[in-house]
Amino acid sequence: MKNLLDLLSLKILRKIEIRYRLINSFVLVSLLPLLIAGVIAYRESSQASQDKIRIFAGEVVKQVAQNMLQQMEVIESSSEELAVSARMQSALAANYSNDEPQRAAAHADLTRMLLENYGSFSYVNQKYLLDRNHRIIDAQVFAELGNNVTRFAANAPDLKGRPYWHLYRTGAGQNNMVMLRDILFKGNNRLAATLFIGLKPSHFSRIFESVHLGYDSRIFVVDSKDGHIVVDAGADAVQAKPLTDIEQPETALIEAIARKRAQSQDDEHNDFVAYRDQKKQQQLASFAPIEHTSWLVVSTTPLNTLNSEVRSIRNKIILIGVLCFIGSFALSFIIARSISLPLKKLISVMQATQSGNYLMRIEHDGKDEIAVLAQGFNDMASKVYQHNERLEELVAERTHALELANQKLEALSATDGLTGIANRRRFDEALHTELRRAARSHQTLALLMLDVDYFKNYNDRYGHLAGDECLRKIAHILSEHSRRATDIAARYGGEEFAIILVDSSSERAVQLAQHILTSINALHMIHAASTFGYVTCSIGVTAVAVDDNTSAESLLRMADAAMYLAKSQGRNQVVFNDAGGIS
Amino acid sequence: MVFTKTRKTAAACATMCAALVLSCLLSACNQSDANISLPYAAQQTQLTALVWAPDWSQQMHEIADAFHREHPDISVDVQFMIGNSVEENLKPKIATHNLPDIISINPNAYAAELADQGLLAELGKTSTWDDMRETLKSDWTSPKGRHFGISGGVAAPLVYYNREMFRQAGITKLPTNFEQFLAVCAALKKAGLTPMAWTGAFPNLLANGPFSAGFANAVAVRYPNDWKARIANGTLTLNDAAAVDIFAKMKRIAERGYLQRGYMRTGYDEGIRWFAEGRAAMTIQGTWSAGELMHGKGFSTGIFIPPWNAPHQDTVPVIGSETGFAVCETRNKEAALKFLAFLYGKGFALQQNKRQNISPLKQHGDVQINDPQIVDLVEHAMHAPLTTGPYYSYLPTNTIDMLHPLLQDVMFNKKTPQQAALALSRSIHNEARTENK
Repeated sequence: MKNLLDLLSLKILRKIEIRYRLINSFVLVSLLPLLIAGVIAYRESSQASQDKIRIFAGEVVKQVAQNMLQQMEVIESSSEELAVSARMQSALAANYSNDEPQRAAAHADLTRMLLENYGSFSYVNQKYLLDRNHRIIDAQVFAELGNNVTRFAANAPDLKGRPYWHLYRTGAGQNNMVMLRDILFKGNNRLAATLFIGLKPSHFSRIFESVHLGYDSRIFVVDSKDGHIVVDAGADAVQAKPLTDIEQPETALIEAIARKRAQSQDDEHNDFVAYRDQKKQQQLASFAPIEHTSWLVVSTTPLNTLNSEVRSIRNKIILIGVLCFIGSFALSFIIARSISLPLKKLISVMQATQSGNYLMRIEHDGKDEIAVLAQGFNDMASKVYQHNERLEELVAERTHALELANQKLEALSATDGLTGIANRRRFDEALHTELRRAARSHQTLALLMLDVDYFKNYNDRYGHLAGDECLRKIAHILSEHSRRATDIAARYGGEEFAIILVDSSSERAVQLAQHILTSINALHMIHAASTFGYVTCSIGVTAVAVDDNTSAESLLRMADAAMYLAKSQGRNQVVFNDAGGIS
Repeated sequence: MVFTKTRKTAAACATMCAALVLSCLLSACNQSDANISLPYAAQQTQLTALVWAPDWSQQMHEIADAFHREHPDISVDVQFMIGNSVEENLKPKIATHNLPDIISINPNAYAAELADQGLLAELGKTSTWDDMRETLKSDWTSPKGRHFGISGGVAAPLVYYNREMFRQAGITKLPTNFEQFLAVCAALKKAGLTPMAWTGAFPNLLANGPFSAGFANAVAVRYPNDWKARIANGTLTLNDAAAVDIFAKMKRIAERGYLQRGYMRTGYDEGIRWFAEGRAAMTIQGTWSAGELMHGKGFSTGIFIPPWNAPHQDTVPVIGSETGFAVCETRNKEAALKFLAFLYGKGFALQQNKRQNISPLKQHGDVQINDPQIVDLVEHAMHAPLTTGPYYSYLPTNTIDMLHPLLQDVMFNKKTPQQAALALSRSIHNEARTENK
């Protein structure tokens, strides 16, 4: 069980984002009760409505059937009085007399009797007396009317003097409820005539036309033999319906009633059936027979309409449910958002810190766990940031110191420690560099080589410190005379110095060498061991148009050769050496 | 990442949609057709029409049907009158104030009285009244000036004759007086033919035909200016030879064997068939039966005014308003007026198909379905110096009721013409007294 729970809660559900888990749980919690409650409410209410209509409609149709029977009995009673009256008996006897005058008088009298008995009633549409051959006893009646009546009477069953009620439809579709009654001669009980009384169906429909059961219920009288409507609450409309619009028989209703009656006589609900009408709509029908006829008073209620109230209530429940559902959905969305959005922010900030950005902070004012988590994260990020800052500052400091040291070291590596001008290493690098540059630009490069005359002697006489000082002073003069940025003065070694003059003609180089020589002489540094009495120097100059074949070594040799020549020629002089030779 | 997010959003939307669809399905459950219409309109007006239409009952139903189609909110319940007269059917309704909405009515004093009592609607402002022939309007105007009915047609009892039988009997000239008429009958009888078909079982037609013709040529001709007034005030004297002759002529025709066998058992429909089927050479019927009589089986029909006049007199034609329609003062009067307009509009063509009557309207429209012979004859007769209407238009209603059996009694020899004339005279006198009361 625990495993299953774990599988569900920790494996399956965790594959879905938290907010979707929350929303779906809200939806299920709100929708399931709604569905269940709706179904139960509908079923229960629907059954209650059906029970109600069965009871009410059942009582109504019974009462209507009773009232109709009473009204029919009134018609029957008055017809009985007429049938057995001496005047009627006498007139009918005369009708069969061989005496024509008597017969003519009888016809007139029979007409008068019909008019006296039925002529004033607005609900009596037709009133005829039919002879033994079912022909209307009225000389004015034409065949087209008389034959229909004759056929109707001929098709009526023999009810042995009992009235027979049946629906009579005229050629143009006018309906009449007809009472046929045989009139028998009292003297011999033989048939004298048949009374044909056609009544407006509306005379009977008034019994129930004001009865409204609601739910679009309809009360009518139907003939159980053929399913034809005999009387309808809308009898006026039915009566005037043209032939082409005659209603189809209520066959389905009649069949349903017949089945119901056949099933069980003892069933307490055997006066209630459900069926589908001609429009395939489900109907509930209560029915009650009218005694002595094949007619049934029927109340039908469309099931759809009956359930409309129930549906209305159910729909309201559903509406409320849907609103609650929408509300819960919105609420779940908001709650899910209140959880997932800060989490997402937290995740995005955490992802940002992976790139080292610890300055990002989660803005959250809440007091929930996520807020605490966010606050903790912010604190943690701050501390990490501070540590980083301190570390970076330390690294920067160390780096700076290292850079300074490097710079210093670099300076130290390119500077002569005694004189402060470029040392031999720096000179060599510069010479190579300037040679390449001059070769590219086809410039002239000049090189001066200077050697202090009798310097060993100077050291020996005045000491190394004085020698050093002497060298420093000479280096200073060289620095002053190599002012261009590209000019480089360097201590080449011991008491030897060199100057690189970029883009300098031989004349300028020699001139500069002369100035240096003069300046050194002008120092008048006493040098007792020199032939000149003061410190002097010999300078070898060379200046060449550099090409790719020009090497540092050749240039140094040329300058060196010129300097030694100056030494050999007596020192304290400048000697120029170019490709053309020493001068 | 984007794909996953879209899928999850779609899943959420699907969940929501499924929930809503489920709700909708639940709400739609068993709701296939919530708008159940009532099978019948609640506001139906049902008119009751009490109609004298023995010869066109089917057409009357068709008119009611057509009217209902045009006015679905109004239906017409048709009741047909029985017996021999309009009035005997109206009396029970009127006496008990069970007024139908539309009634057949004759243009006589009884109807005018009903109009003056306010039982019949004023039709003077209807278009149908305006359209009625001017010559008929006076018949339908009461003494108090109420316009109470519209004539069903121009009614004239005519002698319809079988031209073939006349040729067969060697008759070359139509009779212009009663003696010649008898001679024609004799010639037909001599030729082995049945000279005439009468409807003795339906005395209405005896009254419309032989009686009305006799009254016009024997009585009205004597009081050409005031015979109607004399009936109204009861001063018309009928116990003289001329009046007796009305009944005597009828009796004479019967006694001479000029009528079909069983003529007193012959009804309305049967009488027409006697002639239309070529079994009798002549019959007296109204113009309203022209549809059947003018189209007999295998012969040509001719017509002439019943020559009930003496040799030295001109024939006085019987011509006037046929039984028409009135609207009663009921709660359905407005609907009934619509039906009246329809009866004389589209409905008139329906009945004319059967009857081929002479239209009472000035504007015939599409209803001019007549035989030209009848039109010519009636138009010519209308210009006669003196005409009278059919009996129902001038006799008091109770006199009409009395006259029907009286005519049969004369034909049955139960009463002599003298007794009949006297009875008629007394009835008119009594009715005048009653009217005065």
